[in-house]
Amino acid sequence: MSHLLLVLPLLIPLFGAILCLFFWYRPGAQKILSLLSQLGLVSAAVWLLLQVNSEEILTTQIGNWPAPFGITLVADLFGSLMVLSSSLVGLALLVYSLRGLDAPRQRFGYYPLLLMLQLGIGGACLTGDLFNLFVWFEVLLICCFVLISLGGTRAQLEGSIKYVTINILASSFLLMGIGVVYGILGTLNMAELAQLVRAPDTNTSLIPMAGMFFLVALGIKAAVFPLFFWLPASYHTPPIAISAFIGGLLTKVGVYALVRVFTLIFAIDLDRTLPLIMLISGLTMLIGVLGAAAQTDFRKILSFHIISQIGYMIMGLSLFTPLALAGTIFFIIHNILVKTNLFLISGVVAQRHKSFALPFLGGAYLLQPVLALLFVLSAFSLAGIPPFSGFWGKFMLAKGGFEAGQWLLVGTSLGVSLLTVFSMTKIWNEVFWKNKPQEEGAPSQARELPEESPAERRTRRLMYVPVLFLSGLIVCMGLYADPLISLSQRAAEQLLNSDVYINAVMYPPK
Amino acid sequence: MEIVLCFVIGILFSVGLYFILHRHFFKLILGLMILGLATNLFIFVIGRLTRGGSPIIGEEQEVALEPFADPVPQALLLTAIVIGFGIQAFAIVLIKRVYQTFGTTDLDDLDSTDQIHSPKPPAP
Amino acid sequence: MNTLILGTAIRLLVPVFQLFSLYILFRGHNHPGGGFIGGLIGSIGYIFYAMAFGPKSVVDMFFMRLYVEDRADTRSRSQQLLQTIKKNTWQRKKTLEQLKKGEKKGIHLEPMLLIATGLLLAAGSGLAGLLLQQPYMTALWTDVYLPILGKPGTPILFDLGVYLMVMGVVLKITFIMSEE
Repeated sequence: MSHLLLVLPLLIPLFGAILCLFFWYRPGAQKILSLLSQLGLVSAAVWLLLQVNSEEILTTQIGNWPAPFGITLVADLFGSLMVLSSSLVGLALLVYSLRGLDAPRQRFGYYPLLLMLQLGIGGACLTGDLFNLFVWFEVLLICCFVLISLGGTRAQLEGSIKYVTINILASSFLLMGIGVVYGILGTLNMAELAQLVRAPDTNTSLIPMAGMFFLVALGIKAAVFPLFFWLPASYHTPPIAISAFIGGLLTKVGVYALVRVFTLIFAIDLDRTLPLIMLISGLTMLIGVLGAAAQTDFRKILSFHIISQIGYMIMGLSLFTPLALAGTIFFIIHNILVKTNLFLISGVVAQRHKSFALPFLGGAYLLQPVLALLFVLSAFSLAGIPPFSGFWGKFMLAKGGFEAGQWLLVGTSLGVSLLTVFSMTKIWNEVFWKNKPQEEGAPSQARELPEESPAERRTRRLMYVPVLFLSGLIVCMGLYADPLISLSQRAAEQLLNSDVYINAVMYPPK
Repeated sequence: MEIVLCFVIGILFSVGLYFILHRHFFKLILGLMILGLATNLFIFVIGRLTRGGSPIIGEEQEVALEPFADPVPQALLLTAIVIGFGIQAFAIVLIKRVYQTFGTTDLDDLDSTDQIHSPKPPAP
Repeated sequence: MNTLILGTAIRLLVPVFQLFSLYILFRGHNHPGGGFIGGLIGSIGYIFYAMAFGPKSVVDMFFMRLYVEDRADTRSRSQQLLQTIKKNTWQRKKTLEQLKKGEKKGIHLEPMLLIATGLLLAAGSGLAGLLLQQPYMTALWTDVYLPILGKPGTPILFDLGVYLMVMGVVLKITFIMSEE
C-alpha cells in the first residue's frame, strides 16, 4: 500500500504536467487538466497524512532496490504535512490564476510549470536520500527560474538574473556538501547516514564541517540573514499569481531541508552549531522586519516579511527542544497559508487599483470592505495576535525558548512581532484607510476609480474564491488549533527520535 | 595525482568566483560554468580516485575485481553535469534576453528592483 | 553556414548517426550506453543538419511537419489514413511545396511533443510495477529472447523515453538559440 501512497503525490503532478505538454497550444485543456491534478494531489496528500498519522513512518524503495542502495522515499508527519499544505496552496493559486494571470503567460506553459514545481516540492519533502534532495531542489529551482522570467518584462528579467545567479551558487555549495558527506561516510541514504553518525566507532570530527556546507547552501535557499539579498530583489517582479506561489512556498522548503538534515544527520556535536543558528535566526527576524519598515511597495513589504518569518522557523531549530521544533512545524504551515493569502490580497487590490505602490493606493476599505476584513484576518495572523494561527506558533516557540532559558532570543522574537504589527498597520493605513490620493490638476470627480467592466468584475469575483478559501483555513487553524498542534508535536518527536526513522527505512517490515 | 587535482580545483574555484564578481554578463555566465566544473571535479576527487579499474563486472565473474573505482561519485557527477547543462542553457538564453531588452552588458545597470521607491502607475 | 562539403557529408551521415544512436540505446542493457547518450548522439545529426541548412529545413526534412488529409475530402476514416500516409511519404516533395505556398495546412510536430512523449514513456514504464503491488519503477522482464534486442522489459521503455526526451530537449534548445 505504501508503495502507491508515497508516489501518488509525485505522480499526479508529473502526469498532469506531461498531459499539459501534449496540449501545449490549448490553454483551456491545460486549465482543466491542471485543476484535476491539483484536486487529485490534495486528496492524495490528505490520504498520505491520514495513513502516516495512523501507522507511523511509511517508506518505499523506488525500483525495488533495498534501502542503502536504491532511492528511498520516506513520509513522516513533517514531510506529509508539508506536502498537504503545499498542495492546498497550489490549488488556491491555480484557481486564482485561471483569471488572475494574463493570457500570453498562460499560453507559454504556466500550467505545466506550476505542476512541475509541485512535483519538485513534493519530492524534496518526501525523499530519503541526500543526493535526491539536491535533484528535487534543482527540479523546483529550474521551474522557478522559468516562472520568474515568464513573460520577460524588464523588472522580471532583472529579478531573475539575480535569482538565477545566487541559486546556482547555492546549488554548487549543496553539491559540495553532499560530496563531503559521501567522502566521509561513504553513503547518501539519509537513514544510513543517521545510523553511521550515531555509531560509536565512526570518526565524526569532520561532520560539523559538512554541516556548514549545508547551512550555507540551504540558508541561501531559505533566505536567512546574511544571505537573503536576492529575495526582496526578485520575488516581487513576476505577476502576483507566480510570486504568491514562490513567496509562499519555496523558502519554506529550504527551511524544511535544514530542519531535516540538522535533526537527522548533523545532530551530533551541535554545541557550536546551535548558537550560530540561534544568532542567525535572531538577526534574520530583526533585519527582515526592519527592511520591511522602509519599503513603500505592497509586495516588497511582504517579501521582507518572508525573511523575518524565516527567522522564527530557524529559531525553533536552534532551540532544538521538542516543543520548539513543534512550534517550527506549526509556524511553517501557518506561514505558507498566510503569506500566500497576503500576496493574493495584494493582487486583488492591484487588479482594481492598477498599482502596488503604497503612495498611489488608498480608499480600498470603501470599495472592497470584505477584502479589508480578510486582510485584517491574515495580517493579525501574521503578527501573531490571538486567537489567530500565528499566535499558537509563536506561543510554542516562545514557551520553548523560555524553557531553554534563551531570554534574549525570545525577547527579540516578541519585539519583532510588534514591528510586524507596525508594518501591517502601515499597509492598512495606506491601502485601505486613507483616501485615494488625487491626481495633480485633476477635477475632484476623478477621485473615484473608473467604473469596471463586467469582465473585470467577473475576474475579481473569481479572485475572491482562493482568498476566501485560504482565509477560512487560517481562521480554522487559529480557532481549532488543537489537532494541528498535537500533530506537530508528534512530528517533532519523530524528528528528534531518529531510531524510528532509521528502522522504518533500513529494516522495513516484510 | 590527488594533490595536482586539488590545486586544479582551487584554481577553478578562484577563477569562477572572480568571474562571477565581474560586472560583465558574459563573464558571469563563464564564472558560473567554471564554478560548476570545479564542483564536479571536487565530488569526483573526494569520492577517492582509483586508476585503471572500471567498476564493470565481467562475463564470467560474480563480483567486480579489486581494485575498482567507486561508481557512485561517477553517477552523481553525471547527474550533476546533466542538471548543470540544463541550467546553463537557461542562463545563456536569459542573459541574451536581458541584453536585448536592456541594451547593456553591465550588471551595475540592473539596480531598479533594489530601489525603494516604486515607479508611478500608468494613467488609467 | 553554407558549405558544400558539410552539406553533402551531413546528408549521408544523418542515417549513420541515427543507426549508431539506436545501437547505443539498445546496448545500454548490459553494457555502457543507454537512452541518454543515445539521444545525444542521435541529435548530433540534426544539429549538424541545422548548421548546414538552417533550423527550418530540419523541421521540413525530418517529418516534423506532417500533413493530415482533411476528413471532408475522403469517404471513410481508413481512406483518410491511407491518403495521409501517402502524402507524407512518396508524395512528400509535392506536399511540402504545397505546404510552403500555404495551399494546404499541416500540423507542426514540435520538439515539445517529443519531450512529452518521452516523459510519458519514461514515467509510464514505472507504473507496471505499481500494478503488481511492487514499488514504483520495479523492473519487469519477459522471458522471450529476441534476436537483436535481447530480453524486452520495462527498463527499455524507460530508456526509450529518455532517448526521445533528450532528443527533444536538445532540438528545442538548438531551435531557441538559433532564432535570431
